[in-house]
Amino acid sequence: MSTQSNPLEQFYYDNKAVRNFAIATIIWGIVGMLVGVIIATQLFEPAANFTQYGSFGRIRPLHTNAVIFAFVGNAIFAGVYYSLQRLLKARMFSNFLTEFHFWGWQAIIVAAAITLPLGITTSHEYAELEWPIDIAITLVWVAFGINMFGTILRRRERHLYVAIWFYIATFVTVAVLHLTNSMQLPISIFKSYYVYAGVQDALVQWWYGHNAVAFFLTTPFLGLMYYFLPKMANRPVYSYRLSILHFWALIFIYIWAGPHHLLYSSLPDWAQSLGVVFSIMLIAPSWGGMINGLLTLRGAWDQVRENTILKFMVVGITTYGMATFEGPMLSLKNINAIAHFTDWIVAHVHVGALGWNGFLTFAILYWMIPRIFQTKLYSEKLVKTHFWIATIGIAFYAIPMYISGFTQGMMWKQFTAEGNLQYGNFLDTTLQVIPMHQMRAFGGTLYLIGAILMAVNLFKTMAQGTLLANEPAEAPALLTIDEIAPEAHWHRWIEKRPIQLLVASLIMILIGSLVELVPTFMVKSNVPTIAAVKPYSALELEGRDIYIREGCVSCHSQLVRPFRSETERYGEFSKSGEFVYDHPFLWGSKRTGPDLHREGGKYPNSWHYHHMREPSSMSPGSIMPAYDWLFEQSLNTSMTEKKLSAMKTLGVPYEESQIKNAVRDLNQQAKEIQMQMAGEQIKIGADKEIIALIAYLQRLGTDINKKQ
Amino acid sequence: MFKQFISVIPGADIFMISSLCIFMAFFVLVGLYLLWMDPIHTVKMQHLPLENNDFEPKI
Repeated sequence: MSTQSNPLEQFYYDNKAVRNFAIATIIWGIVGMLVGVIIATQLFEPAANFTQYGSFGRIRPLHTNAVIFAFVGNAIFAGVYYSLQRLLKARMFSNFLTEFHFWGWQAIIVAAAITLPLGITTSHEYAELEWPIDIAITLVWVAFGINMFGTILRRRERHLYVAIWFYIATFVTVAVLHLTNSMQLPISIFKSYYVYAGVQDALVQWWYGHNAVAFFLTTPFLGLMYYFLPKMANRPVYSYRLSILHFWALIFIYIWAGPHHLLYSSLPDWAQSLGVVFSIMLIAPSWGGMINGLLTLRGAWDQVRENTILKFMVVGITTYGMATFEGPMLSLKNINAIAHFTDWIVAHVHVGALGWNGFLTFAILYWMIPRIFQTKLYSEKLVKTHFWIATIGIAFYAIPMYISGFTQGMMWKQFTAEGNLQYGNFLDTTLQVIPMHQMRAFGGTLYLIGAILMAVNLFKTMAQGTLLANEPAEAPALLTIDEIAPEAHWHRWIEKRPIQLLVASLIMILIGSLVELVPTFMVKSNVPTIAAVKPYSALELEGRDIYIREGCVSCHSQLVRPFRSETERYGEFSKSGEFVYDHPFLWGSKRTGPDLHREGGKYPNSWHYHHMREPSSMSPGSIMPAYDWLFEQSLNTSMTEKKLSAMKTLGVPYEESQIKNAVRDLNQQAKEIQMQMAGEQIKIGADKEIIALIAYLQRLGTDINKKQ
Repeated sequence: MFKQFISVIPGADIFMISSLCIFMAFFVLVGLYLLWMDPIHTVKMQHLPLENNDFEPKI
């Protein structure tokens, strides 16, 4: 070992950035949870859908984006900025980049809060923001990366603690995921089409979606756990070896598991199987992290009895263990057949989100804020109240959702002794779970109240203390590599080399990504073509864009799985070749209402007209909101030609004449629908948006029945 | 621009076999790395988060 040492250097930790991100976490957390309670209420009380800007389909992505990227995202940055500086014994690399990162991220959140209710969405789950915002995300993420790596390069501690490995893996993987999943062809500043279509688009989206959970909701929080849990309990992590093993295993294996979101879909079977196998393997590294966290508290459980912050950590880590055991189980095909599209998945996600992300965030905020404000917590009693109210809230949320999920899964598949569907009317299954949805909204409200109590407590704490914006610290300057003793063991090599660590992490996540994505894109047999499947007409394409704008995909799937229970209910199961012109795919992930892939021709135009205007008039008791504005707003056809042209660029075989005459053809088809409905005493202008939506719905899934 | 279908890749199974080999080789290396890890170094790494003296609020 080296005996050399350098003189001590004075420097200051930036606590202002930590404070800013912490405040943003608290505010956006309450906003995101409040929107969650509103949409939960809309699922049993349609009157809670106020105006088009507050309808379920438009604000459901607002909830998911707010809690994932605003609440959890800011919590990650607060925790990373606090721990990174102290683990590296260095101030953040650049004050400007820190400010740019903070304000840039908040601007992106505000942009999301404005555009999503306006219906400006790409429809890819957890990636709904349109392309200009995607570019802004890229710039801010790069600023964060430069700031992080600049700090690492200017560090005063040679070795990189395992928490920093998790931060590096988070940075590099989120960058790869975001760039790959944001490949869009812009039509205008607020509209674009994904370059991928159908099955390929589904695979890219769920490779992204699953790994957003992995590398935004899991790896950064494991890093935070490895820093903050030892600090809170004042004891080192149980096993450093285990932390290294589960780090590499986790990042390598997680990236493969995305296709388990597409079981029994039109995705090639080999890709589905790969997703299942790697999902099962994922139990080992996930539980490695959970066990390492809980065993860190060995011999310190008496502290847990007294310390509410540690209680938050214990429940958070335990729910991580529960969710990461349940996830692989849900990826088994026989279980997935029942659970997919039901509330079971909602329960699963929220056990992880409310327990793991929420509780760790609360614990870190309660621990960090008194320290940077040099004071004690305003009220320990309020912390205890928050803990219990939030824990009960999770139970009230998750248990009814599990019951609801099992109920839906079973009812959808129930046959009578005569061989008919027991619940042929889908609405029966929706109405059956209404009490569960009411209890869920109550659970969510409890959780939100807990967060408000935390906000009061923390803002009072800030008010009674003084922010130590620049916290003085000292450490010896870092010895150069040459100054390290030659007898240093080879295995410490990577811990001293952040760039090599980044490259190694990148290689690990690229292996799984490329093996799954490349063959699906390149091998023709994976997506058999169907000659009868033709591109959408101009009117249908515009109708499809309205379907996307209104977020219909949040409640209606477009994927009939090859089960008798589904083919009896909906019709022929979906083939991959039917989606080749779908930019983006709209398979969905939840059935609050029935699947719509075989909706075309099932009902007359007039049925759709009345159903969209007042859903309960056609389906008594329906919880679907009314879409009045579609009957008042005229269809904007100024971009129609451009849209067809963009689709042609993406490989959709439109003729030049179809593009040139797009608006004329659109008007003609709209007139035909108008005339047909006029015969049923319905008076509506041919230029209204509802006409385009009806045209699209009537086209869905009909091509395979056409004669060649 | 993007094409829906390009061509058949003969022997796409090489993707699976090579990834399995990389997977096995990598984890053998990580296993050896952990097996031969210096216990003194491990203890030093474990204690890194505890080295800073944060402000301790009096409860």
